[in-house]
Amino acid sequence: MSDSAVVCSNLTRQYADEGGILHEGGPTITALESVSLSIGVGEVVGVSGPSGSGKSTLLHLLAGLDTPTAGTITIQGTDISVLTGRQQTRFRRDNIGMVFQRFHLLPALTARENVALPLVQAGVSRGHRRERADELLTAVGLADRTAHRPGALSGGEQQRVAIARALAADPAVVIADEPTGELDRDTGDQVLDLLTQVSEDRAVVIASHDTYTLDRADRRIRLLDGVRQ
Amino acid sequence: MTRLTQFATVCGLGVRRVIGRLRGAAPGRMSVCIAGVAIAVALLFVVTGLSIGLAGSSTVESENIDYWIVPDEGGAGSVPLQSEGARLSQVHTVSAELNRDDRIEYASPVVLQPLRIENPTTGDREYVVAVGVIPTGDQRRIADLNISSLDPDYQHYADGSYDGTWSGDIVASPTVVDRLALRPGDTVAVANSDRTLTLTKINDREMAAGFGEVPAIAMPLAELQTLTGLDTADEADQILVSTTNPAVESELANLYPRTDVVSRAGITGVDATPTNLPLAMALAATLVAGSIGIAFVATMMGLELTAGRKELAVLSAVGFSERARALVVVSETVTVAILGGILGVGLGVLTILGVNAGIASAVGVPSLATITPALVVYALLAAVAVGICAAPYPLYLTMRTNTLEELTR
Repeated sequence: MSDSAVVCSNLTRQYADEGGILHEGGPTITALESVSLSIGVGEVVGVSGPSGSGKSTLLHLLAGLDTPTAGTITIQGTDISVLTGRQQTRFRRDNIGMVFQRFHLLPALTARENVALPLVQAGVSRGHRRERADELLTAVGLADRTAHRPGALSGGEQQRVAIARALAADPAVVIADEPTGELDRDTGDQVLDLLTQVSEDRAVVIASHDTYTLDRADRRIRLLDGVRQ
Repeated sequence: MTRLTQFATVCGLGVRRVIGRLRGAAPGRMSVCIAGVAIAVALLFVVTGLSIGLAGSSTVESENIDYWIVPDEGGAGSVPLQSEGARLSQVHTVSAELNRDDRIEYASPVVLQPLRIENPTTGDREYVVAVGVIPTGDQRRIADLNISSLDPDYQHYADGSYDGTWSGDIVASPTVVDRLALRPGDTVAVANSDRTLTLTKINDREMAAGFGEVPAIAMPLAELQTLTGLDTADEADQILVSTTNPAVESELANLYPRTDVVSRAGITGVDATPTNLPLAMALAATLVAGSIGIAFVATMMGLELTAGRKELAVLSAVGFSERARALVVVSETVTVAILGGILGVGLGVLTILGVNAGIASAVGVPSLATITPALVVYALLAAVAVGICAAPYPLYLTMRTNTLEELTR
């Protein structure tokens, strides 16, 4: 473990009550309140908490999919809380890999094409995209499944493709939201092994309410009603 | 990687997604969408092909003729062969005057009439389109028939009388030669006449495209007039005038009352017809097919996107900008339209071949609808236009997609 890859300071996210517009003094729901944390390169951090505790909100903020109401998020030295939507998208493309509970692979594309997806807009040539995708699929044990579409893959295989996709742009941070939620224990173990392996030179954040999954993390952060315990 | 290459790569993703869905991921809606466009483009193709056929067959095309003087009689000009339509009279006199004008290279009345001819040796009979023109020694083609093989010593007509020497010369299209088993020098009989015709030369190609592969012969105007009773008032269907001087056009318009002067054109020649029917048909086909295609693609792609918003959210999550996502959606929409266009052209070609064959076998009328490379290009461009015009609705849905909402749903 070395320098911090992610530093959050007093992170707060409020939503307008009943879907209205968020404004000062209006009714609000606080999904996350003054959360501060630091995650080092090579560290796997588990985020735990019951449903509605703010796990997903924290991950979305870290991924630049959402913007905090207050506080800062610094990833690799860049405060992403002040970036515009377009800048956040670009930052996400180059620095963050995401793994979802339901894999979210594009069904019309092959495993190779799904893995290469983050490289398409990054301006990587076709040959290099293919080479990188094959390299990653080999690393996750799917060298013989490169031309298969998601529909022809098992749940575990799809999640491994999703992990390979998350690593395609060689991001500094990998964020996994319930990565084993749809998998059986053995398959989930394989996925967690992979996430642990890839943490060697990057930060990995895993949100889960499954104790077995969280036990694989180097460190655990517990949230309750949006507040870090 | 240049911006252009990047643009092409993102567009390519849209194309791959369409192909991927068609190859098994979710072919249903996509196939219906392509079929809808295909039907619209096929409709456009067939009606426009018919329009071109009608337009092309109403005037005689020639490499050297720049203008036609044609009667301005509604409807008559839209059929391949005029039977009862208005004609021009005293055409020999008028064309002689035209030929005296230094600005005019060549002028000839043209008669288009069906003739039934027979090979007396074999007994084979055939209806042919007879094209009557004043022969010229120059290399000149009228309706693709090379008339330079007709005897330029035009003797049957002189000074208003039709009692000169009967040459009987004809130039026949390959179809005539095949069907009647003729060779150069052979004589053929004409139904209801004791006159005979002699094949002087086999034309090196079929008659002009507007008529399809119709059996056709070219012969001296006066002799065709005699055979068809048009010698009484020295009548012809139109007068062809070859000139390099555009100023002549306005003078030609004043030669006869109620006539049009039209100029030669290619696929756009529908506007050179005596009536606007083919043009109206082509325009109507474009509008109807375009509207159907746009409505179909917009609706089906809208449904496809509504069902697949999560995929757009995933693209955003992996770093696709809003512009790139929009480009993917537009390229998908245009790809669907192009695939529909290709299928539609295929359907259109088959339909035209079927219709032409059916008409030919049922009523003996030569091919009406025409297939040209330009028509294929036009149909494909129309399909692309349909895709581009249908794109705003899917784009609107794309812009309304909330990444976070879709990913957490």
